[in-house]
Amino acid sequence: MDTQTLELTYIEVKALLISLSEADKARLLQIYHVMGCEPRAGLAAHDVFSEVACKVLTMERAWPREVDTLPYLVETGRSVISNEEKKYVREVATGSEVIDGIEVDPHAAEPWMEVVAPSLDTQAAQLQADATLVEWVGKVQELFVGDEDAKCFITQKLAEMKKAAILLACKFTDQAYRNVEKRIKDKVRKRFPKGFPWWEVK
Amino acid sequence: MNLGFIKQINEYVIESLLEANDDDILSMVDSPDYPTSDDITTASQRIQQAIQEDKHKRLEQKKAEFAAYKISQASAFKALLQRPVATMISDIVAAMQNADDMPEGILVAFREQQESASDEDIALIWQSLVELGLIDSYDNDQTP
Repeated sequence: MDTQTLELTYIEVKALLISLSEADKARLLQIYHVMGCEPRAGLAAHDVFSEVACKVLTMERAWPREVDTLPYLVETGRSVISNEEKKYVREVATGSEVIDGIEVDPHAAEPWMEVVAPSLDTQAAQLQADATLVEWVGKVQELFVGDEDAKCFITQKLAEMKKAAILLACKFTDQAYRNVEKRIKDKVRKRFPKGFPWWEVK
Repeated sequence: MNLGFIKQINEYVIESLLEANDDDILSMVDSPDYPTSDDITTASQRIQQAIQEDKHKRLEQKKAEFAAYKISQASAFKALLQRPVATMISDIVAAMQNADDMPEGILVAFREQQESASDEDIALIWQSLVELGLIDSYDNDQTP
């Protein structure tokens, strides 16, 4: 009879953390960078590492036995960054200073600005964000200029097509789909090791 | 639409990092835009630190639990030394009158030993009932 529990025990979790290889640590540090740990949450990648280690050791999040080490540490890091980002944004949003004993919100607009400025600011920011996104998409497309399969795959992805539709549109077999996807993954990782800072245009 | 695509590209970068072989990953260390050897050393130290801190916290918790247990044991033992056997028997009998709360094993043991129980046997049963909360060891009303 299988007497193992569905979650890893404290001893097992500790052993897995200790046994992480140099390559695994490098992977995780880089992944936390790609997730935007510093700009989004104000945390260095090794700070995220630290938080993740504490979280898993205190068993705050149960670690299901069937989930492999790296994906689990990746997802725990994603949750740490996301939670810290929410706190960080709240702190910045409520940031205020005291001048001559009166609390002043440095971001507060003059009353007349509320009528005109926000919509102009929003429009300008939106235009800027759109232009940046178009530029990033262009950079990805440039990587696959002579690769018709990858071009088709990317066009379909941009149109938010699911796998079944991409198989039909690009006339891929399942294996061809996986090969093209793998080619794209590896090429974008080599060309853009830190990914794109999408949080800047959110 | 484009934002979703760019987020997907970042996920592809993450998946590729997970799928790449160790040699490929290690060859990137100390290259621009990749972690440095110092970053990796710091990460290792942070793991060790987290393990040590957690170990210390668990040890402190166990120590506190053990200290609390020792105090409760000492109180029960002190009460045991002060209480005459006859009083212990009346405590047990009083507890047995509320037989619903009494564990079956203790009940059987007491009945079996009723005829030939030594003072130690009585004390042992009395102590078990104190630990179960069925007898109040601080209750001195019955002590002569």
